[in-house]
Amino acid sequence: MPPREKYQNRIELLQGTLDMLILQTLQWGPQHGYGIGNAIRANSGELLQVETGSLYPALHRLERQGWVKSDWKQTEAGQRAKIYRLTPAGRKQLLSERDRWSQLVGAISGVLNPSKGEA
Amino acid sequence: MFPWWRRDQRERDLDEELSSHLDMAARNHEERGEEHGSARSHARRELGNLGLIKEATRVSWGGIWRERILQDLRYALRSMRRNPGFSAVAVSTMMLGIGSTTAVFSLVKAALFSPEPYRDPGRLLVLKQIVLGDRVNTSAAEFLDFQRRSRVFEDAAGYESEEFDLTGTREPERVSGVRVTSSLFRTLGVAPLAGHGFSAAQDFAGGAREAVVSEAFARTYFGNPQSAIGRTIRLNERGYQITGVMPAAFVFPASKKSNEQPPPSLWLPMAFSKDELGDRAASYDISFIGRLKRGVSLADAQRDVMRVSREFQREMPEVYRGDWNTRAFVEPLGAEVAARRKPALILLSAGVALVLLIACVNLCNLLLARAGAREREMAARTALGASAGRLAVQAIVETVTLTVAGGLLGCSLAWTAVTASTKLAALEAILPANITLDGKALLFGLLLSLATGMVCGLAPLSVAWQRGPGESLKWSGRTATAARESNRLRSMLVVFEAALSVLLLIGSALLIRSFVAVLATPPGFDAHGVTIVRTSFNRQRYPEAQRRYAAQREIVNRLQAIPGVAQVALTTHLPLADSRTIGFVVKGRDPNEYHWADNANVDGAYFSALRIPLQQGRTFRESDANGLPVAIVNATMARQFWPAGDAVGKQFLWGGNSNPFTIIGVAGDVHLEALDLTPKPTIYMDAYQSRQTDAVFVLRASHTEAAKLGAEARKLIWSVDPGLPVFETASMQSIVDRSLAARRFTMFVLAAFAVLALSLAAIGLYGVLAYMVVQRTRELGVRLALGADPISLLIATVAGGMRLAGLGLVLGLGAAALLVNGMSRLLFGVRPLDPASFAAATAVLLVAALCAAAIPALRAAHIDPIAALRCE
Repeated sequence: MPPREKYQNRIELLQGTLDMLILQTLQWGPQHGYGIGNAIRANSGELLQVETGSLYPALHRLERQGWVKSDWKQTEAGQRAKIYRLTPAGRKQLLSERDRWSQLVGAISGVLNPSKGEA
Repeated sequence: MFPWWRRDQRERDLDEELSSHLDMAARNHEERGEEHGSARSHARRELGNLGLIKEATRVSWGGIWRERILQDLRYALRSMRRNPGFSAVAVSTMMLGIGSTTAVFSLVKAALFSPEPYRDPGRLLVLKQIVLGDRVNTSAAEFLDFQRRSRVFEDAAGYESEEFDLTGTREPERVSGVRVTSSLFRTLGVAPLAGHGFSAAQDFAGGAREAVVSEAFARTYFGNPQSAIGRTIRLNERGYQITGVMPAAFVFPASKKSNEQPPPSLWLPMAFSKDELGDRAASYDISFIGRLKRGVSLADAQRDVMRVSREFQREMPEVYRGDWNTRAFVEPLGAEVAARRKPALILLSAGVALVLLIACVNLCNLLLARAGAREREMAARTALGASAGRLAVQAIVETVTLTVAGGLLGCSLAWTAVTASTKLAALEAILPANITLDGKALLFGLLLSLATGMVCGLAPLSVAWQRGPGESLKWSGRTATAARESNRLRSMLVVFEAALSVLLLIGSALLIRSFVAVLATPPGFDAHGVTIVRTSFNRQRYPEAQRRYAAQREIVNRLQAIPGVAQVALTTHLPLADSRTIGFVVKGRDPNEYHWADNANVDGAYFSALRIPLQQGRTFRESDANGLPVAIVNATMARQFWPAGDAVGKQFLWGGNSNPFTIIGVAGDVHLEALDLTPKPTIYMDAYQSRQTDAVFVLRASHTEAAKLGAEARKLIWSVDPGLPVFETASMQSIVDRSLAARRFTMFVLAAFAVLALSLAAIGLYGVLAYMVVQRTRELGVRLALGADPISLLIATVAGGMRLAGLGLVLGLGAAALLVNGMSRLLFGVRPLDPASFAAATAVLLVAALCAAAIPALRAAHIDPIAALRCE
């Protein structure tokens, strides 16, 4: 069963980053799963495709950790949807993940461009 | 969020969420101009595999293992139902293994280690002294000094067991009672059920004569505890007023031997007399029991009592002579009994463990066989994507369900067995009242069934893993060499079982041989046809010895007149029932050199009535009664002190008697204490010179039945004095039997274990061979078709079985040779490496193995080649 393998690998690869992207997206306001996926794609200039098979496990995981909360609500289009919103704990988590991310980016660029580092 | 048990709700929630996602995506596509149908299928494609998304999301819910275990449990129950025969065998193996062993262990533990019915018994200590190398209690004065001077006890009490004649109620009776200090009930932490205990003033003579009685006593004589309070009873001809009734569970002192007299039924004030307090080292009659202060260790207590003992020696050198080497020590209450019974308990526990182990191995074997049959199923599931871990968990849940079900049934079986056995009269002599199932044994049994399930569940998998799914799927089930690894593992288990059975067989063979040896030990007397009647002539009733002697002679004469009575004799102590130790000094040797000897006071007819041979000299005669003190010693004593063989005529000093005792005869050795203990030096004194008030009449019948003699004798004794208490009539043989009860019990239990182990091992061997024959049906069929001799197939199969049994036998014999020394303390008359026991165990195992192998071997020889070849 190859597809299953693939999903599992991708979740593993994206895990930390995807969680951060979801939390970041929810910072602009409560949103349903479909909307979150679309927003990430749009904001990344269509570069990041979030698979549904990763998105929902991630959302449920975040909810279990208490970083997001969900309610069934009516959308503007008049459709019932499960809307996720950021909790205060989630906000804190977002900040710490962003910190870690910029450290990681700094570190990686340091490695990639050694000339700019300590001379 | 939903709690984990609302999984279905959460599942619905996820469905809805995903379908709302689809709706939104479809609408989005429609908004971009796609038509309804294609927009929907587009959205569906984008979403991907719905089932996998759900699966991945479910994992993120956590607690997935819970879900899976429940699933596995359902699966396990379903598969149990599918194979009712297999399940029944597996569950009942476990049930019998756990049930019988838990029950027996509880009984053994209760028989050997009944818990003391006191508050916090772990802090109760007894104090003993060693004087001249002998363990003794304390004298009254010493008791008071220890109580006053020691600093480690919260409370301490003294007591002395005594027997009393209870008169004025119905027939005169003998009751066992205890003189106790007022602190006793407080020290033990047990309060009277009704009324109250004693006051400190009653510790010394002159206090009120009161009694605290047992619940059973109050019930027997006064109907109920409340109505006993305030009543007066007559003990040794004196009135005592009952002030308290102890609870039914209270027994003090707890009996040391299972074959001793009934537990005490009353407690009286200590009432130390002046005489008693004056004589510091004459007798050590007062037992000391103390409750340790919290946080004080046994070692601290030991140091403290030793300090007090040294103080005595410093302050009173004239009493505590240096060469007496007096020391004091403490030990936990019951330690002495526990130490004596420990070897038997350890042995039986080992037996329990072995039987359980064999039952578990058998079950493992059974499960392995089934795993072999199910290997293709497992392989198929692996190929379909089940992970190894998941399969392992499932296999374990399946076997654990089986074993735990067996374990639970076993526990209820044990419960029934224990309850039933308390009602068995045969066990009454050995088992204390109100036994319950041992909690620890029960827990152990359940944990073990759990562990067995886990191990047995994994074992077959390891075989499957080694092979890999491809290979398992490849075989069509026709190949004759199928499941070789599994067979090897199963064969190893059978070897192991056989080895364990050999251990148990040898252990029980040794115990049986010891028992036979004990039975064959000449007790030194002939119990056959002898009836005994116990009575007592207390000093209140018979203040002068001469009056007692006269009554005793009169009773002897009347008993002699009973038709069918050949001989009547009188003694104070009976062999194998009660013993007394006295200290003496040999005349003409160092007067400070004390020696110890067992003692009984008997009349002239005693030796011939019990057929104890007189080796030298003569027995007591009527004229001795008014003469100088005379004594008869046993052969051991004569040999030890007068090796030249000239004991007769020699003298020794005993007690306060200023006149030395002259030895007039040497009698054969008699086992006074126990059949399996070497006789000690023994001194017989003339009953008609003795101050002892206990009297046992010994009647040797010429032909009449013993039971009838007892009733007759009782009547005749009362015809001389209707006030005399007759508290036991029994055959001498029953007294001998009682002294062997514990040994017989241990032997029977271990032998039962051995039989159980042997049958389990035989079943295991049978199972493996039968399975192999079934597996090889086709091969055997081909060989028969090609002209093989059925007899040679039969022999080959039997040989295969015997090889396994033989290997187990060798291992078992080796292990036994290493282990038997551990049980040497339980053996009598046999060496641990007894060739006969080892040979017997070997023979029994081989015969059992032969029987187990015969059935599959016959089946192998009777295979119909046509049918075997056609069936595939």
